Amino acid sequence: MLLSTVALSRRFDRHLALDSVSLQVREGEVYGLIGPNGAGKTTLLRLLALADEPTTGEVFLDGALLRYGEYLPQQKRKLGYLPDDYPLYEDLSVQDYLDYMARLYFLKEPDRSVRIQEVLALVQLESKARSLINTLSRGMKQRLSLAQSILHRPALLLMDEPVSGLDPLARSQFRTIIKDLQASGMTIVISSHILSDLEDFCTSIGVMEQGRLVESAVLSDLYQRLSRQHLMISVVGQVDRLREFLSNRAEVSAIEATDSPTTVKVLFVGDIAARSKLLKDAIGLGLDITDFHATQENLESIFLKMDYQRTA
Amino acid sequence: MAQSQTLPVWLDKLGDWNPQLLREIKGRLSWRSVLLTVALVTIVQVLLMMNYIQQLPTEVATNFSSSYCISPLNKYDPIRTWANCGGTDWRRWWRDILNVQNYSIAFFIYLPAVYLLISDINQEIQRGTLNFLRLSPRSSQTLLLGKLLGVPSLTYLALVLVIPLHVLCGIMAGISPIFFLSYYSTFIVFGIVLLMGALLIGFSQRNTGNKSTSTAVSSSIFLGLLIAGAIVIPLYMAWNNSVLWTPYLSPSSPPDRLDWFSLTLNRNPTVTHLFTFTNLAIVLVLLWQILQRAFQNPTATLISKRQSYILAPYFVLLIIGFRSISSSTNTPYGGNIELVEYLVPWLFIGLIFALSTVRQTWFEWICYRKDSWPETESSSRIQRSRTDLILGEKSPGLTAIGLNLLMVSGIIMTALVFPSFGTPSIDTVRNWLGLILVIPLVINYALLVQWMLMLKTQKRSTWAIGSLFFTIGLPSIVGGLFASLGSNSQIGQILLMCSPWSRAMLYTIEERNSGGFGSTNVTIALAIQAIAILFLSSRVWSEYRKMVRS
Repeated sequence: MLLSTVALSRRFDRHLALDSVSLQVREGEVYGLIGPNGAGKTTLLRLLALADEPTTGEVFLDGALLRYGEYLPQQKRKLGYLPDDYPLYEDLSVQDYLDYMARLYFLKEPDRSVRIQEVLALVQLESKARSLINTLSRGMKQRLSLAQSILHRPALLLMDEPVSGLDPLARSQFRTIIKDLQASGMTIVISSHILSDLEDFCTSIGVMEQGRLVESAVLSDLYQRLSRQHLMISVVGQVDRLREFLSNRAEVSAIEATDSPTTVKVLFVGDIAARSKLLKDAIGLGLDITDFHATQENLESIFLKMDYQRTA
Repeated sequence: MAQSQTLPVWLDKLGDWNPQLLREIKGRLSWRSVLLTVALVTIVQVLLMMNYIQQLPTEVATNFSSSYCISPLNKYDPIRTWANCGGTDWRRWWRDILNVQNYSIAFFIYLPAVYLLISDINQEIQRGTLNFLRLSPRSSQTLLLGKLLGVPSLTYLALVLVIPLHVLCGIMAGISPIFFLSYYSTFIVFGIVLLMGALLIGFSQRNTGNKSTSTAVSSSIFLGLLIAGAIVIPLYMAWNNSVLWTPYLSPSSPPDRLDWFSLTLNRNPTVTHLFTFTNLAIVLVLLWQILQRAFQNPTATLISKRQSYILAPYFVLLIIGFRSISSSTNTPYGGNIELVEYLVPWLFIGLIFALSTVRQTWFEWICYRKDSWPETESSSRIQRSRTDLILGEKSPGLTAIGLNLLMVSGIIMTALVFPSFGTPSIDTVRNWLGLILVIPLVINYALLVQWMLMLKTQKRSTWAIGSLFFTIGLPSIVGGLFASLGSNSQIGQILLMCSPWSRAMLYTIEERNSGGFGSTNVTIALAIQAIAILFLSSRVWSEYRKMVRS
């Protein structure tokens, strides 16, 4: 485990913002934290980033205990943090800001200059290197902030609502960058209350509700466990034969009515191989299949089903 | 290509060692600001010299008199010219310029540096970038050192620019070169202490949240400049002029002897310097630890309980140990215990704000303190609980304030009981009464601040500061008014006895009622304080119970 927490809690006055959260994130994983506003995502990320002190509980990074307020140079070098309000030195140029940050993280020449160019290219800000930060757009500032958080090649990147408030184009660009980081093998913990943002690249999901981590699972397991698949099969004539064939299959849990007399809709619980076998067997029976279409419930539907209504 | 490659090699290396220092230097030492500083320093020096040149005796009689004549032919003639002057007292002229510079350098260098540091920290807090600096793997020492050396870099440049004229004046005035060694070494060490204090004032408003308000910014700048300009720098200059530099600036007139306990200070410059630097070093180490704590852990109290147990007794011991002995009669002047009793309320007001825990910390302490205690036999749990109250990070500050009060009172009582310890007491009874009055006063202040910090309101700190100001101000002003009117001075006396000026009030009582100390007034004042303690304790207890229940 690269990151783990043990019964992490944070209390603000009487309000328990985080309630005994035990989280585990494997190396190379992209872990999505989802939950409504006020669920405790930002608080959890701040505690993981050492930006705040837990009331109780412990955080371990690569097996080492992280203590707030202590001098932990080795552990801090493994951490990258992109908060939701990303403070920047507006009076500096992009280049100067990254140079300053690189020095803070012990990057020395010639690696420093090379790395600055690399991250500028990754976040598509090469042309803005000499520009003052206060002249950048919100999306550019967001990308600069991301560049700063990955400058020192952290083992773990923590991102708090990185795409919130961005226009569709900027969001798309940001998603591409995150996928690039994922491809490079970086472990990422990312929070969002927009599920479609996470569906693309997350390998695991944690659901937060009222300060508690109510669900934590590998995304593929979750799909298999909870996501329903619908198959739409159309035939030329022989609809009754098709219905009979499907009703005898174990993977078909229900046959639903459709508007079309030549189409049958079934609720399917098998995986891709079972789906392929079903199609082969139907053709083998001599059924004249004209359309075979599979649809799967998305993350949002799964969480609606899980009763985390506010999350969805 | 990267910006760093255009930097000179030494600057690049400096940036690798301390990125914060490089950032500050690059941001502040621009050609424009350097030229402005040079111009400003030159103009001030030219104006100073012109002012003193005008005071020299002239060839032609003017309406101005000159105090730089060696032996005026007619000493009643205010109009001095070369002809009736007997020559110019150049040494005195240069020495006067030197004296002005001794003071002005301190104020003109330190005050802008204090301002720059406090406003810089406030700016970092407002932008939210200070939290980001905390997350970096650099040590707090590196970052704080970068701030201390880099932020006031222009004032350091100004210091370098004023040195030549200052030294020239000293040489021309016939002052020993050792004076300059003393002046600048003290200047640097004291400067570090002062600027660290400025940084601490900048950090002290961090508990109000991540972003500070403009009111908080301006009030912390004002507070910093007020403390530095009206208290600390004048005290530093007074000490230096009357003790440290006397052998160089006024060698012909030996002052009264100054002892610290049994150590005679102002008869041997080496001892005086060692004493000064040792104390500056103690304060420096303490402040450095407090600063690192404030930087690393912004949610903690400003100082730890452990640090307070060193700070308060050290402060009282330092002052109580001084003894001034008349060079003519060889008898001590006394009055130090009285001075300590004047200062104790103010020392504790600082400690109360530095140690008192906010509502959030109370909640955490109430909810989780027992979780961390091991499930062992009851005696060890009691011991653990006691240690938690005395030293614990989250435990209420009231215990620590009480213990500090106990230690400080113990030192004062020792000095009162054993006259050989510190300054012999001139008026033991008044000093005892002063101590008896100051103890409940401090307890009341501590309870009041703690009560305010436990309230459910959002602006707890503002309420705490406001209510304390009110509690200090109301009896002081109303009591002062009554006392000055004289018609009903008893009310005035009693009210002033419930204020930080209680010690001065005892002195007045004795003056007015030569027969006694106004024991009725003292008793009434003590009764009022006791009632206030009972009331405030009940409020603190009630808030505590509310928290426990929730």
